[in-house]
Amino acid sequence: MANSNSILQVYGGAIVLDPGSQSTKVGYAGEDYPRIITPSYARFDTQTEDAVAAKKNIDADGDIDLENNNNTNDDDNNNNNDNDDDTSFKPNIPKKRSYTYYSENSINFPKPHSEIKPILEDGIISDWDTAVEQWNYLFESLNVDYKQQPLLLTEPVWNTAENRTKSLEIALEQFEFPGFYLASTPTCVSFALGRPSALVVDIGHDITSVTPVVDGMCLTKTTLKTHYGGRYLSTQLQHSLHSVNEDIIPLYKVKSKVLTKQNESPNWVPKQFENITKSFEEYQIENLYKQIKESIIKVPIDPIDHKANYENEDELFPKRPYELPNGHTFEYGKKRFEIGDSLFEPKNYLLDEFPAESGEPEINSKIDYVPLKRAKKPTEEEEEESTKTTGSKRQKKEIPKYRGLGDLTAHALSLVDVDLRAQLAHNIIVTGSSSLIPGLNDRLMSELQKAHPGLKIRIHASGNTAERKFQSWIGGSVLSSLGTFHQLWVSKKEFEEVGAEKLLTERFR
Amino acid sequence: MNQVLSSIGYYLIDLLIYLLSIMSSDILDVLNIQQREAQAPKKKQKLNEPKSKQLYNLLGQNTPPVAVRGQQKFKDRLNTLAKPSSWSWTSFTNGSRNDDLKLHHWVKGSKEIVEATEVPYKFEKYNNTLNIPNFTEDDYNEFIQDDPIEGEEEQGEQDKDKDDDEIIPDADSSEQQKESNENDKQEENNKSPVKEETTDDNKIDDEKKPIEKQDKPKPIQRWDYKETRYLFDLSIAFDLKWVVIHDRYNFIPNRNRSIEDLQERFYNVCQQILIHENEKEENPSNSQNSNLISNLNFNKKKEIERKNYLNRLLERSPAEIAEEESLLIEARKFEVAAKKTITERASLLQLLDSPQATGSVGQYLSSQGLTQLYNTLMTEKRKRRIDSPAPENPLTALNEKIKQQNIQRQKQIQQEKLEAQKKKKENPISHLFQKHLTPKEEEEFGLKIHTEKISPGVALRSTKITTYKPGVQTKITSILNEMDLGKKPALLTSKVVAKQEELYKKINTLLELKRQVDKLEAESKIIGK
Amino acid sequence: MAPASNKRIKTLSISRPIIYGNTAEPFGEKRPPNCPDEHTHNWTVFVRGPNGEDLSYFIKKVVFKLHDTYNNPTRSIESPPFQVTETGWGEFEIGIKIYFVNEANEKNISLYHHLRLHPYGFPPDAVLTDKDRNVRSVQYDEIVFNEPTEQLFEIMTQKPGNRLPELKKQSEFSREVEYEEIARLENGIKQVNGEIDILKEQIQDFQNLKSEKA
Repeated sequence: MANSNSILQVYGGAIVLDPGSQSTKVGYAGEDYPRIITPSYARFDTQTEDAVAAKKNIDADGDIDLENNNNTNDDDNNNNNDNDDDTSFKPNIPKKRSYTYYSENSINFPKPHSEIKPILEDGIISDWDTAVEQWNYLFESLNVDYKQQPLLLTEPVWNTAENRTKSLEIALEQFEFPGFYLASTPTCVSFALGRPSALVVDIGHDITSVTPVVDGMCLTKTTLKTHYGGRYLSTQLQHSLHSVNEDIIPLYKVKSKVLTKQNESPNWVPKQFENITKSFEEYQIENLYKQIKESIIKVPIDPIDHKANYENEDELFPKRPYELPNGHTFEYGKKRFEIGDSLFEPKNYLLDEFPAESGEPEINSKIDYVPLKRAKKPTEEEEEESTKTTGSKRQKKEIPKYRGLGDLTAHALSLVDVDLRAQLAHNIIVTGSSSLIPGLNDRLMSELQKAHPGLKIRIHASGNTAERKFQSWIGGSVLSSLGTFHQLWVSKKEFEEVGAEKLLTERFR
Repeated sequence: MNQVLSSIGYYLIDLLIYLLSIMSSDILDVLNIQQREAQAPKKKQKLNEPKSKQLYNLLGQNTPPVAVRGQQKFKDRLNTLAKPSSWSWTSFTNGSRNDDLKLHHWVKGSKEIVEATEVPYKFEKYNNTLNIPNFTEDDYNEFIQDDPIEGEEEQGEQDKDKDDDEIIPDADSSEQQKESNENDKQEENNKSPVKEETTDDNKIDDEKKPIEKQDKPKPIQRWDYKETRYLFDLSIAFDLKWVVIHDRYNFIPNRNRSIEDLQERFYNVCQQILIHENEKEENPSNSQNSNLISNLNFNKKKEIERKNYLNRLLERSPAEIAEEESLLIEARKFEVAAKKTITERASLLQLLDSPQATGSVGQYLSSQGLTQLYNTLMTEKRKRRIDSPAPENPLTALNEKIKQQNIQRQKQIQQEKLEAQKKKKENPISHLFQKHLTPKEEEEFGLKIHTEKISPGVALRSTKITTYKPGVQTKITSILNEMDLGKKPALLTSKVVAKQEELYKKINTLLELKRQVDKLEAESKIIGK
Repeated sequence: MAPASNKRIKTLSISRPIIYGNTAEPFGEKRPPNCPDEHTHNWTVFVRGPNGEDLSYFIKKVVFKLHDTYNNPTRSIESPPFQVTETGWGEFEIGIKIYFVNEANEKNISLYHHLRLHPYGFPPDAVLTDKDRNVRSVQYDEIVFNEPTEQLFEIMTQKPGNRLPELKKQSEFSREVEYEEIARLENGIKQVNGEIDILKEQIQDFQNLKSEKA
C-alpha cells in the first residue's frame, strides 16, 4: 500500500515566481502553466496626499490611513483590506503604500498624474519596495500558505550579489517562507525542455542573452548578453513608423474611429484626458508596439543588403497591412523584414539608444583590481576606459562590436570548452517572447551553420507560443517539483546559521 | 432527476428539429432552391427518421465532406468514470537535509492511511557525494606544499602574493561570482614590464589568437594552502565537473587559471595525499591506493594538445570538410578495389592450380641431384602420357577434372538412393508399401508417391498452384471470371488443384495463341495493303 | 530420439486437409459484459479439420495475429481447439501461423484470413434474418508434407485423415463437392480447349494465306 502510494506522489506545494523584464509569472510548482501573469510594472498615483507625503518624508508611510484613499474601485484596495482582516498569518512585510497599484487593470487605467514605473531593469529587480508589494499582492491572490509552501525565485545569470542577498532576506525574513531557492533562468529553461546541458538563447524584452548550461548549472563567465531584444525592436519600429509619418495613438485615447485606407488621413475622435503622465503614455504605446511586432515583423532568411536593389521586392518581402487603433491602416513590406533583420545585424540599424555591445557581461568596478605597475601605461588604460568595454581581451583593442543574435550565439559557442562544444551545439534552446518572430529560428540556424561548419547544430524551440513565453516559469515548476530538489531548499535556520554570502556561492548554483 | 431532464431535453430537440425542418424548407422554397428529393413529399414520415438524419437533411445541398456519425450518448460515458481517488497534503522531512525542515507534498491515499504509514523520504538515496581525498593545513605544510610547476621562475610574483594574502577567499568569491572577467585582467598582467618565462599554457580561450598567445606569456601563479583548499571545496561542491568549477573559480579575480591548471593542481595534490597515506601503511604495494596513484598522473601538455586538436577539428571550414569527405570516399573506393583485385587474383591462382614450390632447391644443386631431378621429371612425363593425352591447356584439364567429379557425384547419389531404398525396405514403415494400398486407401492417408523430383518441406496445397507473371496472371483471372470460374474452389484437394493447374496451363497456351493470332493478323493486314 | 528417424522419405508426400476461417454473429439482445461500447459482433477464428477432427497430432500450435488495437494482438493457441473468440466491430486481415510437432522437423507456415463480420451479396434493402446475419467464412485447404520425416510419417499413417464424407448433405466438405468442383474445372478446360482449337485453325489459315502469297 505504502509503496504504490509513494510511486504516485505528486510534489506540489512550492510557489514559483519568475519576474521578467516585461511580465511577472507566478504559480504552483508541478503545474504546467503559471497561475498569474501580470505586468512587471506598478502604478504610482503621485498626486494623492500619501504620495506627496511620502515624497516629502520617506519614512512617513507607516501612519497612512487606508480608508482615506479615494480610489475605492480598484481591486488592489479590496485586496489590501482583505489582507488586513485575515488574521491567520501575516508575513512580516511593511504595510503597502496606499498610492501603488499592481493589477493589470489598474495599470492600464488612464488616471491623471499616475506614473507607470517598471519594477525590473535589464531583468534585475531595481525597485525592491515595489517588488515586495507586488509579490505580496500576487501571493495574496494565490492564497499562499507561507508556513507550508517554499518559494522558488528565478534570476538572470547577471544578477548582482546585493540583489541576491536581498531576495534571500525578503523571502526568508519578510515573507517567512519555510524554504527558498534562487534558480537561474537558463537553468529553468533547460529543465523545461528536459535537456540538462544546453545553450540557452533567451530573447527577452530588455536583454538578449546566451548562456551555456552544463548539467543544470549556468556558466556565468561565458554568458553573453546584449540589449538587442524586444525593446530594441520596439525602438526600431518606432523609428520606422516615424520615418513614414505614422501617427501612433494608443487605444485608450480613441473614442471612435472610421476605418481609413493607406492614402487617406486617419479619421477618429479622441477621448479627452488631463494630466496623463509621460510614463503612462509610453507604457501604452509600448503595448501597442508589442501588438504590431507580434503581427507584422518577420526575420528574413538572409541578411538584407541595403545597397542592393531588390528587383522582385514585393515577392521577396510580401506586404502586410496593420490597422492602428485610430482606424488608419498602414502596409509594410520590406520594412517589416528590416526590423526583424535588425536583431541579427544591429550595425546596419544604428540607434543612439542602443550603443555598440559585444555581449560580454559587465564587470563590477568594485573588484577592478589594477596592479600598480599598470599605472605606468596610462595611455592604454585611458583608451580602454574611453571605450567603456568590459569585454574580454578579444575586444580590447578594437571598438566594441555590434553583436547580433547569430553572432552572439556563435561567439558564445566558441567560448565554451571544446569538450562541451559539440554537445551544446546540438542542444541550442531558443526561448523568450521575442523569439516568436517568424523566421528567427531559420535565420539563426543558417548563421550558426556558417559560423561553425564543423559542428552539428540543432535548435530546439517549443512550437507552443505560451510555452515559449513562460518557459523559465515552467522550468522552475518542473525543477521545484522534483523529488530530489527538496534537499536544496534553503531554510531560515540555515540562513541564520550559515549567512547569505556562503549560501549564495555554495547553495544556489 | 437527470433522466427527467434529459427526456425533456430530447423533446426540446425534437421540437427544434421539426421547427427547423419546416423553416428550412420554407427558406429553400423562398430561395427557389430544389430540396433533396426524399425530403419534399412526406414531412410526417420524416419525424420517424433518426434525429441525426433529420439534422443532416437540414444542411440542404451543402453536404459536409465527412459523414455525420451517430454520437455516443454522453450520459453513458459519465457513468463509467471511476470515483476520484483521494490525495492528501502531508508534511515530510527529508533525511538528506541538514536541518529538520518540514516540507509538504501531496500523497495519494486518504489522510489517515498516509499518516499511519510513515515512509522514509524515497528520494534520499539519490543524495550521493564523491569521495575526494581530504587534507588539513598541517598536512598541506607537511607534504603537499607548492608546487606542480617546478623549476619555473617566480620573480615578480611577490607583490602579487602579498595582495593575495590580503583577500579572504570566501568573502570575495561570492561577490565576484557573477562578474567574472579575469581574462581581461589577466591580459593586463601580461603586459606588465617584468619579463616572465613562457609557459606552455595554451589557454583554450587563446587559441583564436595565436599571435597574442605567443608574445604574451602567462604569469606563473603559485598555489598556497588557501587557494588549494578553495579549489578542493569547489571540486566537492560541483562533483568534479571541471567546466563548472572553472566557471565558478574566483579565488582572486584578476588571476585566471585555466581548466587545465585547476585539474593539474587537483590531481597532483590528490596524488600526493595518497602517496603519503601509502607511506604510512606497512605494506605499500598491497594498498589499493597504489593503483590510484598512477591513474592520477595528469599530463597538462597532453590535455592541452588534445583540446587543440579537438578545437581544430571543430573549426574546420566547409571546404576542408568537403575535401575530407571526398578523400574518405576515395579511400573507400581504393579499399574496395584492392579487395576486388585480391579476390580476383586468388581465384585466378586457383584456376591455374599452380604447383607450389615446396622444399629447397639445395638438393638439386649437385650434378647427381640434377640427374635425379631429370629422371623424376621424365618418369612423370611418361606417366602423364599414359594416363591421359597430356592436356596442353590447363583449362581443359580442369574441365576434365570437373567432369570426373560430376560422374563420381552421380555415382554417389545413385548409391545413396539404392541404400535409401534398401533402408526403406528394412524400415518398419515399409510394411505399408508392401501391403499394396489401394488408390482409395492411399488417398485417405493423403499419400502420394511422386515420380518427379520434389523439394522437401511443408506447404499449403493452395500455394502449390503455379503462378504466372503478374501481367499474365491478371489476364488468366479475367478469363476465369468470364467463364464464371473466378471464385476460389471451395475444396482444394489434390485433384482439384491438379485440375486447376491444368486449366491455368491451358489458358496460358490460349493466351499465347491469341497473341500469335494477333501478330499474324497485323502482318497479313500489312501484306494485304 | 535417434537422429536416424529424422531422415526424410524421398519421393513421397503426405497431406492432410484443414479448414480455416471465421464465424461471426451480431450481439443482438445480450451484449457480453466488459466489452467496449463500439463493438457489435462476436466472432471466432479457427483452424481445424474439415469435420472438426483433432489435428493436434501433427499441429503443435497455431498463432493468430489480430489487429493491433486488440489487447495482446498475438494469440498463441497451444492446444486444440485452435481458435480465438473475440468481440469487435470491424473486419481485418488475421495472420495465422501454424507450427508443427517437433517430429515433423518443419518450419511453420503462414496464411491469412480476412475476418468477415457482415453478410454480403444481399440487396441493400433486403430484410435479413438472424440466420443471414450469422456469417461464416471458411476455406478448405490441405497441408502437404513433401518428403516427410520418418517419424512424422509414422504419426500420419496411424489413421487415415483424409476421409471426406461422400454426400453434400453430410458435410460442407464432401466428395460430392470435390467432384462438382472437378466437373466445373473440366468444363472450363473443355471450353478453353475449344477456343484453342479455333485459334489453331486461324493460325493455320494465316499460314496458308502466307504461303499462297509467297
